Amino acid sequence: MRDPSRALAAFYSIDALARRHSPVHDRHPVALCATTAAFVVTAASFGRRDVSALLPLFLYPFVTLALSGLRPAELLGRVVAASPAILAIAALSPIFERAPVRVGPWILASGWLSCASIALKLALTVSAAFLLVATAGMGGVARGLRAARLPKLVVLVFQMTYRYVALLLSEVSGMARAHELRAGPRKGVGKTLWGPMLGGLLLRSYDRAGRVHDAMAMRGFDGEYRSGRDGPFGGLDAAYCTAWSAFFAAARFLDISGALGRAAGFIARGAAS
Amino acid sequence: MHMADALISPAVGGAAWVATVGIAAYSLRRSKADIDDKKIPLMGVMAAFVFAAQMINFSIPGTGSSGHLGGGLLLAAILGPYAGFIAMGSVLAVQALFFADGGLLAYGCNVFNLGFFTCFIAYPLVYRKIAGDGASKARNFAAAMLAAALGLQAGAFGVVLETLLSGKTELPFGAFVALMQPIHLAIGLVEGLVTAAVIAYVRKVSPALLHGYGEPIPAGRANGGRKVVLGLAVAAAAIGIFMSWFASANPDGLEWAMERTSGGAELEAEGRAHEAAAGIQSATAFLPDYGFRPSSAEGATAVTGDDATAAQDETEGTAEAWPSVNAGTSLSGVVGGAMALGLSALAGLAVFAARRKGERSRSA
Amino acid sequence: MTAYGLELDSIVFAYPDGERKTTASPSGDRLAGGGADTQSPPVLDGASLGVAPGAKVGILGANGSGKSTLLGIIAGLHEPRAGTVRVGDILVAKKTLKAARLRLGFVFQDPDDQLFTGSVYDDVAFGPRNAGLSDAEVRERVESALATVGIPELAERPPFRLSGGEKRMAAIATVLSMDPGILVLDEPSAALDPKARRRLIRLLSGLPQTVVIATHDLDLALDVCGRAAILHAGRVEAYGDSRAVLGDAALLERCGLEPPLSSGSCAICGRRP
Repeated sequence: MRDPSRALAAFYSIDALARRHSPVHDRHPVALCATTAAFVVTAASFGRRDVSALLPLFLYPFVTLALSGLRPAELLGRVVAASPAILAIAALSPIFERAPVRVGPWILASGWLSCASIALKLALTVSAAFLLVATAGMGGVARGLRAARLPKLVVLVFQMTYRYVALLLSEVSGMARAHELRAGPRKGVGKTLWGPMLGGLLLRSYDRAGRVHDAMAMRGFDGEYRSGRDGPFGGLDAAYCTAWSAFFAAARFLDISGALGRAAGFIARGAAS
Repeated sequence: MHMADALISPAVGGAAWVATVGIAAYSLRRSKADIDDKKIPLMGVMAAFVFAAQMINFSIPGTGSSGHLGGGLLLAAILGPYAGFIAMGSVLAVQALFFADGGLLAYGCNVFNLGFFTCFIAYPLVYRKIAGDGASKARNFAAAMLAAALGLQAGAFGVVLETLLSGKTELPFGAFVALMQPIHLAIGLVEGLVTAAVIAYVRKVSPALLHGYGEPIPAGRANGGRKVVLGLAVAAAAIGIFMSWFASANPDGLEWAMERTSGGAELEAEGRAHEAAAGIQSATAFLPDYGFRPSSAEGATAVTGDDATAAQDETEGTAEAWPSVNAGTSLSGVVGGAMALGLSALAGLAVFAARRKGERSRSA
Repeated sequence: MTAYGLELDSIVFAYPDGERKTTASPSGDRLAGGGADTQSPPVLDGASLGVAPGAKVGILGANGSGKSTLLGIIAGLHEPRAGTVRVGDILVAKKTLKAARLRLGFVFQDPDDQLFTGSVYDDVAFGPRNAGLSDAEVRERVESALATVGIPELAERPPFRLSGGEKRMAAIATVLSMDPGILVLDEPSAALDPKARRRLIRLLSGLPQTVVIATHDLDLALDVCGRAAILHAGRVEAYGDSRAVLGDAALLERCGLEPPLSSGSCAICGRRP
């Protein structure tokens, strides 16, 4: 994404999504973060050519999407826009992995399995990240990071980055528009302006950081960040987290797809005979 | 390029996470001791600045194409390596969470590739050494170009290593390197040009902002600085040795690729590197799945017993770094996978419908 | 809450070369950084001002007359080269800075400098948390501060999603939550629409604290402040009842100011208010 106004719009939309209420939004943010972490680790732990074994994991994004009342289009847009570079690497697999593999009635180069596996993992993990920020929000993620015992000041820096990204993006989009209006047909910012444009913004940002520090010092900041305690981690939160983790473990260690397929085969044969 | 969750194994991702958090905690202590609590808002605002600056497209003279800033080197030049590293981590966190650039598990790798190499290698060992006291414009320019190029080369190599260690793709080492390094040379040139231009501007208008400006090196600190440089040199040497070992494991990447492509040498050709990675993985795997996993023979009989046409690639079962429970290539696997996907979608729809109904009855 | 008095005695201040904030030079051009010894001519040259507890004072002056600098000195952000500042009975110095700041609520010109966390609640809670209050006390403080400025519904919003007027109110709430005895505001009505400005005037007029406002908005000064001081050439040129000070056309002319609309005759009917 190289368009400041679109990036800004994405920021605003995620913030708006995260402020809704739903059975997912209302869970403790630490439960949401832990579930997401478990999901991403599970997805990443699948083997290079696992394709059908990955598919049961889609239950998580589908059900979370439905539970949280987010629109599928919002998620789909994210997944489609995700990292073309990774897909390019995935697409190289069929060229380098030529060993034939029988897939059902077809015979393919095994690279196609790797390719499909990477693409599915990409879809799963990008969905999980989106569902996390769209339900827990930035504040929730920060609480999750603190719960994971990350240094508080690192989390504070991260929160401030998020806070000022929106401000600076609007400044940059104003600059980009002003430049565009006077730059004529040329694409991008010319060499002579690199220093003044970015440098000027940098100096202004530096001054702002100084004023922010003054504002913090005026309210008693002494290098220690006190964040206040979180709400209680209730039974429902624990249940949410445990249920999903159990499902992820099942999907990882039990052959759900195989069992479904065999069951279907059994029924089909029974019907035939 | 950002590393993604789709290409990474939990072991590699977890290790990089631990390393990143460790370096961040150390950097925090250092930058706190260095200056004062002023650095906290500075890191946050500067990280936001870099993120916003990445949105500006710069046209590259004489090429008709355009590129944008990465920012690691610039952050180090303004904030110093320690605070620069934390700020870069913050930039990458915002990217991973809000723009699906990189991933959550791969976050540690990305901070390492794009933050560590630029802030702790390229900046102190290349940029500062070449730029010197910053009096010479030409030296400044050369320093920024070289440091940016080197930082990005190291980062790209990091992506290659992390991907291969994770074993999620079978791209041969040589081909992968031949693909990644030249692309990142081009990206590094843009990074160098933009960084040099910005630093030159800042040096002209407000030089005191630059890290280490006008700082005469007092005796006590020089010692400490030397210690840091020494430590980094040792780290660099270790990485170099590791890399050359890695490269020697696949002496000729392209030849290896040809061999693989011809399909002749099958899985033996995986090479020592992959074996080593598998070893590392099983040693560090924190989800030890041996107890649950059916052996490949069992898996094979289970499948063949059910469907005579299904043939599991048995060699694959033995060579797989993280053995899959079911390769899912049998007919029942394909059908079952499709069913799982379909059932998941149905479950989602059912929940959605139930919620709708609940809302409607509540509003009625 | 105790309203404290404020006493400034012959303050002299000059920015060290190269440290002058860019906000003072809108072109963004900074002075080339030289040694810290060379100093630009003093911005304040013997400024004195006494504010009684509970009084509301407007500090007026043309651009560059040193209003913001004077506020910075009151807040201890700048150290005067000569002269003293007293907040109540505390003589402001390095050692007493923390205690003095606890009595002062400083509202910055740009609310974006003051709202630096992820949500309005966290921002308003920042000061009380740093003061070591318990979570329950913090909540009480935050809720009462937000109620005072009239935006209790915005507690969970991230600051970048607020309008200019809402940001201003939130910024004031961040200092009210610290229960200060003196409120110092820098250009509080800048960039506010008429309705938000009216709301601000109502709020400030009703506050029990001592209030010091630096502003270009002479009408605001007239509405809120009983007394007004005019800064000119580094000194307090006039200080007294705001109607008298702002009605003195010759004085205003001399100090580069224009009489407020409400003190002039009506443009339509020619009658004086």
